[in-house]
Amino acid sequence: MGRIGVLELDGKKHTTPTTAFVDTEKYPAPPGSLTLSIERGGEAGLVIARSRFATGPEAGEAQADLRPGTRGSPYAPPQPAGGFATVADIAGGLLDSTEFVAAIGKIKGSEDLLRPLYCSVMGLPHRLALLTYCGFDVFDSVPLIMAAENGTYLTTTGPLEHSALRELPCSCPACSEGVTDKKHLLAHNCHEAISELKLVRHAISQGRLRELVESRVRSDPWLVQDLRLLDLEHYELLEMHTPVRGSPFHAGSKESLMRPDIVRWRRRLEARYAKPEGTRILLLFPCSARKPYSLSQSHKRFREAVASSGAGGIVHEVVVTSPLGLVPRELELFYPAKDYDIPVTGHWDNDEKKMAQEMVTWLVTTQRYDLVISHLGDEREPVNAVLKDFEDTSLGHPGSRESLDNLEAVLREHAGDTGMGDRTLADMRALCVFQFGPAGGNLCEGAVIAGRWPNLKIMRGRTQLGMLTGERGMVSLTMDGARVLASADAYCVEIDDFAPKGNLFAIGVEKADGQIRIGDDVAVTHKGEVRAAGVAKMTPVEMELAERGEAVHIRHSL
Amino acid sequence: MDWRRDLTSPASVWREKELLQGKVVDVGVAILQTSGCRHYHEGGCSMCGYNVDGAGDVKPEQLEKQVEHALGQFKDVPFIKIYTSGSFLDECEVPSGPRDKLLSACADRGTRLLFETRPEFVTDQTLDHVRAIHSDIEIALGLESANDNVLSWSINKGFAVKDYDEAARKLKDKGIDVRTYVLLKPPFLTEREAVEDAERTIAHASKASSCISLNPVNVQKGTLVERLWRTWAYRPPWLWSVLEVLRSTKGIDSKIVCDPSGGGKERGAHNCGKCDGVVLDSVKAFSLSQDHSRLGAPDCECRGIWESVMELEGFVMGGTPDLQRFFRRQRA
Repeated sequence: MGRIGVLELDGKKHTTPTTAFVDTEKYPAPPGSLTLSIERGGEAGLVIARSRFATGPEAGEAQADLRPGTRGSPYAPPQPAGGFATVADIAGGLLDSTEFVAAIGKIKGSEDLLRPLYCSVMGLPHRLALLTYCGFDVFDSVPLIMAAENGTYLTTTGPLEHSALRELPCSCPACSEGVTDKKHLLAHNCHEAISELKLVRHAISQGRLRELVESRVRSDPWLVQDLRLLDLEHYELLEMHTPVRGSPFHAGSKESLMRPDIVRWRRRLEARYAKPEGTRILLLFPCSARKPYSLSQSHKRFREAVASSGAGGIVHEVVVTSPLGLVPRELELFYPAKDYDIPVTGHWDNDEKKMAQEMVTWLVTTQRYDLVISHLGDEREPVNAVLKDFEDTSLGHPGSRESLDNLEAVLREHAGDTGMGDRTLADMRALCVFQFGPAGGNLCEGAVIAGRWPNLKIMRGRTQLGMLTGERGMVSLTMDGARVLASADAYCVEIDDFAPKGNLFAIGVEKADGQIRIGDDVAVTHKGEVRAAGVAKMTPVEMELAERGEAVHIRHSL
Repeated sequence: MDWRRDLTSPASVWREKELLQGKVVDVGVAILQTSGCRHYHEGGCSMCGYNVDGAGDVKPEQLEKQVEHALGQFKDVPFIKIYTSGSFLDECEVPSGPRDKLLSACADRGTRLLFETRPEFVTDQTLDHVRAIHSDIEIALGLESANDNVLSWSINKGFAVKDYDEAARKLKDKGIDVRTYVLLKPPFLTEREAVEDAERTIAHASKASSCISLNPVNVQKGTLVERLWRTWAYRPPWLWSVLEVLRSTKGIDSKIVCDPSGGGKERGAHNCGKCDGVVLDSVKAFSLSQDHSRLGAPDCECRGIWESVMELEGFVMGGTPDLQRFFRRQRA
């Protein structure tokens, strides 16, 4: 839910997430920053109204960006909403992660999703990554000042006691001066928040905020709790905001197992996946560091053994891996299967073992193979423990000559000469169903596959319906492909009666299929007629609610 | 209510000093166990936990015994204060029997008597009746704030400023001294708003009051304020704020008194723990002398924090989190 935005105030633009600096006589805002002042009329920057309890005239509340109102008093009537969305009870949220996460779920699960979200008091530098991930857009400098007043030196890995520092672990202008008074401490704290937000914005632009969050939460139990609770209790919300295609990432922490894109992979396998038609032998392989796996030395050898056995047409290769659980060969280009990196020690921890066992059990009980072959390495023991009636060909060393010969012999023995045959269409169908759900299968009806892996075209006669590219790892639709999906009413964005060119703005969207995720190929339709095909740039909820912004990037149109 | 509770003696009895006509005198104070404040039964005030003293089924004879008990303790004092945790003039709370007994005993002894009431029980009829028995009386009204928004949305006081004004005028017309309670820092106000509200309320109350009592909120059991305080969403006022308000009363004719309940403790008005005692002593000295030069304390490190809080709290969106508590290292 972390997002980059532009806040336009009095003709000045501020890129969010950003910090608004309190601007008073005692604490003047840093020059050029977004300022925050209490209603006095005519000031630039953000204006906060006086509360309903302030003595004196109650002018200007309607013009203010932020309105404290009655500060949540249960005796007062509900307050009219201001320009920003806010968290109702800061103290409760900071003390109780459950309450904090519930507040986030409430705001982001409502129409407030579209309003800029303001974060008072919480925004210490080490929390900015997580708070941004939760969807906050603007922070205030109150915590930076209060920390300085209490002798606290802020860093991106947590607060330190200023007086205990024998040398200052920072080279910002304030720290470089060698003066350790409150003024310099405050200047450092502000600098730290500003530079952390630069890093946060960079991480968002690279699609790698989650990794920054996982590293920043380490220093503060409150942050770890928040992240875990978000993952556990608000998966649907996080998942909806997670693009289907992203940057390569490092899955280096316990929380990585619960990344929304990783959980989505596992859940989508269970919800949508069917093995390629005609496959009868399940062959489990270990993962490789190099992605896609097929390009690694170990997998090249595995595949040679399969090819020379003559059983390639009926063998379903599936990679057992953490944190994804399983990666069927035909999905190995699909994000995040070729985009994750994990620390490998050769030891699987219990969470990873349990997850692999559950996934393998799911696979063998739902997909029904004639034979299961375990050709595994470090994960061999836990996986074998849940398999019944299987052949173990790896002997614990899947890459050894002996094991590879063993594998080839077992395959040859079971397959005989039934194993040849072209699998590319069946594999493509499995991928299309994984990407688009059951409607995706229609793309492959009466189709042939042309081209050379990993760049493959889905052709029906002379008509191209879509294309898988190694770079995207998923199928891009042509207008004809979009028509196939539209006829099944899947992945459609319904628009008013016009012909979109270049891009489709949210204002034109009437309705969007709830399955659509950012990065998905979609059909843009009007009353059943496909007007364009393109890539989703928003969540379906945003497409329907928002009145501005690009909803779909159009690739083909009428 | 607890059946073992003895309803024949007051909940509490003590002596304190107060400035009376230029002299510091001994004052006898008793808190009676009554059926409790009428307003408590209608929701009550956000900061008031005194209703725990309320004894639902106290009988008039028992209240009379309590009055006798108190009178027996205070034979030698020129001034008696009777608190009921509610309204002394509400006949449902204090029936005429014990009430008139107390009034006539004080009249016989020539003892000044102070009691409290909500303004709705200040009627011409009651006042005439009371005055006919005893004339040296002072009646305390809890105005708390002269801002109707604060009265209804922060305190849930159940009456408006004009109701107080009317009651105070009636009392003044009958020549009865008015003491007005002013609350410092009811919930949902920032420290600065609280100070400004108290200053403005004192100015308003001074028009009709011979004495004004500044009451910094303390966190009482079972109240909304306690619930907020437990989740760090409320902090009792700083003693620096108490000083600030008292200093601003220079030039006000009414006597100003302040005796912060729970002063210096986490649940009462407090500073950092180091300077609390000195500030509280100065507040006491001021109350007994009305000498503003007695107010003050040597500068303490925590004053800077209080100043930041005064400056910054108005910028906070999302309640009134205790900024000091979230950012300080824990109090020793």
